[in-house]
Amino acid sequence: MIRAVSLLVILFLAAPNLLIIASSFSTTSSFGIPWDGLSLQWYANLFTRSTFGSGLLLSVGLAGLATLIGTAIGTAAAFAVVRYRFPGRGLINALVMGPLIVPEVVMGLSFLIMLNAMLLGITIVNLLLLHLVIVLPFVVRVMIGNLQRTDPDLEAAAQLLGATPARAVVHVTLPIIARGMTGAMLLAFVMSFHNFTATLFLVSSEATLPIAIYQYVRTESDPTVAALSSLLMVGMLGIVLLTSRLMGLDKVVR
Amino acid sequence: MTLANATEPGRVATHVDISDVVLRYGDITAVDRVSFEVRPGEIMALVGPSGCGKTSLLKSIAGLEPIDFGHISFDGNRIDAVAPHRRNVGMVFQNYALFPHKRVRENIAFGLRMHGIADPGGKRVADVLKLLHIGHLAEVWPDQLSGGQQQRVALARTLVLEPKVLLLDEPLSALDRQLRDDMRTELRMLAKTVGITTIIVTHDQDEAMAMADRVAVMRHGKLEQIGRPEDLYNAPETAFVAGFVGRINHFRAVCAGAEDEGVTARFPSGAELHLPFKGTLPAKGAALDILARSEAISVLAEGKGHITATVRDSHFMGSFVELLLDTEAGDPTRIACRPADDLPEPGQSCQLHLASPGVFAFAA
Ligand SMILES: Nc1ncnc2c1ncn2[C@@H]1O[C@H](COP(=O)(O)OP(=O)(O)O)[C@@H](O)[C@H]1O
Ligand SMILES: [Mg+2]
Repeated sequence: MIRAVSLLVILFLAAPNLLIIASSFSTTSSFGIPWDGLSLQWYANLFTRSTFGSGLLLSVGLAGLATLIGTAIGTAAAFAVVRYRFPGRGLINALVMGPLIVPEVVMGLSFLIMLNAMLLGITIVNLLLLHLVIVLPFVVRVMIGNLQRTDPDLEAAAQLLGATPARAVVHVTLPIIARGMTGAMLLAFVMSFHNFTATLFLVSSEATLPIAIYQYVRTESDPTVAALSSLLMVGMLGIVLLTSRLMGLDKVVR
Repeated sequence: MTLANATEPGRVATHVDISDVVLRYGDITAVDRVSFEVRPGEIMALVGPSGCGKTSLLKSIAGLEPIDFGHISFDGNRIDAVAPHRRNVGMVFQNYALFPHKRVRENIAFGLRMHGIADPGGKRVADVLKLLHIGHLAEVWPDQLSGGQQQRVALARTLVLEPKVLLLDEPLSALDRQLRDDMRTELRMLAKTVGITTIIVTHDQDEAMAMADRVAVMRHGKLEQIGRPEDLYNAPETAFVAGFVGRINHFRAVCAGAEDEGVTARFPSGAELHLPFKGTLPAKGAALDILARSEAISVLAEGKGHITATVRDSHFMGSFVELLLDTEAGDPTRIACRPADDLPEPGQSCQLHLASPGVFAFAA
């Protein structure tokens, strides 16, 4: 019984995605299950559109940078919050968690206003700043949880065995929180890669992939985006599988 | 020194001098002007109730918490400003703090690696594995070890570096009862074999008396008394020490007179008893706490004692009989008596006669 229910739930959750994948092989230019045959024409069409290629590049680059920098800053902040009592500790907490509460539309708009005031004209830098603000709360949350489960006596023990404070972190703490960091990076990458609403305010001529897709469906209504979405799903699935294979997903999420 | 020839002459253990040490966490004074010495090769137990500052004191000796006042010296050299990774102090943490991502062998070799000490053929690691009887566990992960095995690994990891001082924080608290009694003896033997100056923290006075050469009793961050177990037991300087080291029975009396280093205690029955008294003598009529070891109390079925009592319950315990008594002059009292035919039965009244040694008077 419970099995049947959970199967139904999974089907219900997966249905739209399955429909998209089916549509991507359609022979006609309408969405829907292709009863009358399969074709790869929409996949071919993808490559005639340069906005998708440049959008993918921008999105991957942006998500990659936001992930690396965000995880470094976020882990350091989590470290400070968990291990030390200092004035302003609550402030860090609030600052980092703030973006979780502010609606994305408001965040995008306020970024636009702020960056205009600061006359920062470089789109990629602006986008990176925005995406850092977006990914940081998640990284900090995940890493705070991880560090709280790591016994602080481990670092103390390492020091008494002759490790400098820095070596104690490198040889003991980092390997122990590596799994959690991988989880945080995965989460950050996905958050940044998928972001649409706030990003919309800052793009100019260069569009990220979600925005390129949006711009496409505003004028066209053929299954090209279904083909793109299918490829993205496969890509994401690949990343998740690879990570869970390397780390054990249960432990990444835990 | 190497562990293999630890008992050979030439090994010089470290003299530890703790002087006026104060350690604060914000407003909390965890260690309050504590001074004592630990002689080379001596085992010192730090005892006291939970939260009295034992762990904090260990951490200040290890350098994990900076002290706010006073100094700590090893062999006459001040080390309180030396960073923990240069102090060469070995510490076994309450939960052992083994590195979960390293096998037993790697845990033990970690300190050698950090110090850049070569260990050709892994001989030093092998020696210490052997010393602690855990050779068969070298390739095992920490989460596969029992509590007792984890403790041995933690000890091995520390001892392989031949530290100047060994600090053990509640070393037996995570073990089950049977193992605890065995490990007491083994820990003491180990420290004596290696000949290392050792400080053991515990809240269990039995453990302290079984393992240590001397015991330091702490309370609210302060040192109450320090001495050999028998000194603390036979001559406690405060009511707290009398109650903490060994079991004690508690009676109330008033001061009927005070003269040269002694008081006369008058019990509710009117009976009087002269007892030695340390410190400022109390005024006549002042309330006194009379503390008595079980073996200083005789139970008389009739005749004249100091305290009238009623037997509430009695248990035959093999080598002794335990009487649970209600008295007019104190809390319910538990006394161990030699089994005899004339012991009073539950419900009967009796007289308690107190006789030094083992009876102490303190101002209430
Ligand atoms: N890191 C800390 N920050 C603030 N207070 C602490 C800290 N560690 C211990 N304390 C406080 O200091 C006192 C002594 O603690 P501790 O040394 O752990 O006692 P014990 O080991 O005897 O149980 C307690 O009141 C405890 O709450
Ligand atoms: Mg403690």
